[in-house]
Amino acid sequence: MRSIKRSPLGRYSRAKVRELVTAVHVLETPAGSWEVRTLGAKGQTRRFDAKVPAIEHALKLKDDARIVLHQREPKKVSLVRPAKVGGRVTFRETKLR
Amino acid sequence: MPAASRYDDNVFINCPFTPDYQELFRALVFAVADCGFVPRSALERSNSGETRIDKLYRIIKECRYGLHDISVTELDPTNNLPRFNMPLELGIFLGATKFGSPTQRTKSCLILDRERYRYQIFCSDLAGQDPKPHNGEPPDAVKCVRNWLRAERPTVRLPSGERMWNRFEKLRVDLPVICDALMLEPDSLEFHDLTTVIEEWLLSNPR
Repeated sequence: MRSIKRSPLGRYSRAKVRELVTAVHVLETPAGSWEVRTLGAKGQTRRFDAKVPAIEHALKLKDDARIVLHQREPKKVSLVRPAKVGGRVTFRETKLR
Repeated sequence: MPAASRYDDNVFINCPFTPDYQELFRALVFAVADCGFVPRSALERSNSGETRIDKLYRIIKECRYGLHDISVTELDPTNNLPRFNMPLELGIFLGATKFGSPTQRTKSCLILDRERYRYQIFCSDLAGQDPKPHNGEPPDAVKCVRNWLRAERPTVRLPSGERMWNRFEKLRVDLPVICDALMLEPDSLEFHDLTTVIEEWLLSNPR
């Protein structure tokens, strides 16, 4: 019988929490602006008028960190990854929830 | 390592689970974890096959340390009676230190109340146990826990209670963002969700 190596309450969810704690978060504010936040004791916040400059700033902050985008309407949380399209650096969103 | 086998690191948190106590409860859980110990609570598992009192016996047996807040003594508005769960659990813990095995006799506890000496009015047999006052203030409760656990492990360096509280406030700001991504509600976190977020936050924010 095959054993289950990854329980939904085990390593997977803890790793996911770790990933989110160390990620850079880009949050849409009620006023429609965008906030780039790093979490933790030395967390920083910077506000932008538009989404794209906010993501670009987030991508510059930490090379290896995940960028998590929190959109308000419609409610959506996605992972953002840099991608190259025709020699131009852009980004790709993957829905997290 | 499963929490059950970490007797020397486990801290049983005995306190009310009411919404108005939530801030204090979270502050206590954070302080225990930030001191390098494992917070344990009756909220951690709901197995209908185990009676409530058996669950308490098991958790108390697995914890060397006990944090008991007996500050809530108000009468229930419906029944006009106080809740006795916290003093009962404190009694079980103190009993284990007297009548238990040699391992159980190594137990240590911190008793918290709202005001100094107030316990003498409703639980005078605690005289000599020196309950510490938290004044209903989470920063004071964090300080009490920090000072108690610091004395229990004198070789471990810990930040001051004020610094520990500041770290907790940072976590409180981060919590809604983390919960949003995890599809959790920050105001109604289950005990395991709360401890997982706190532990991972502490791991990525070492002192």
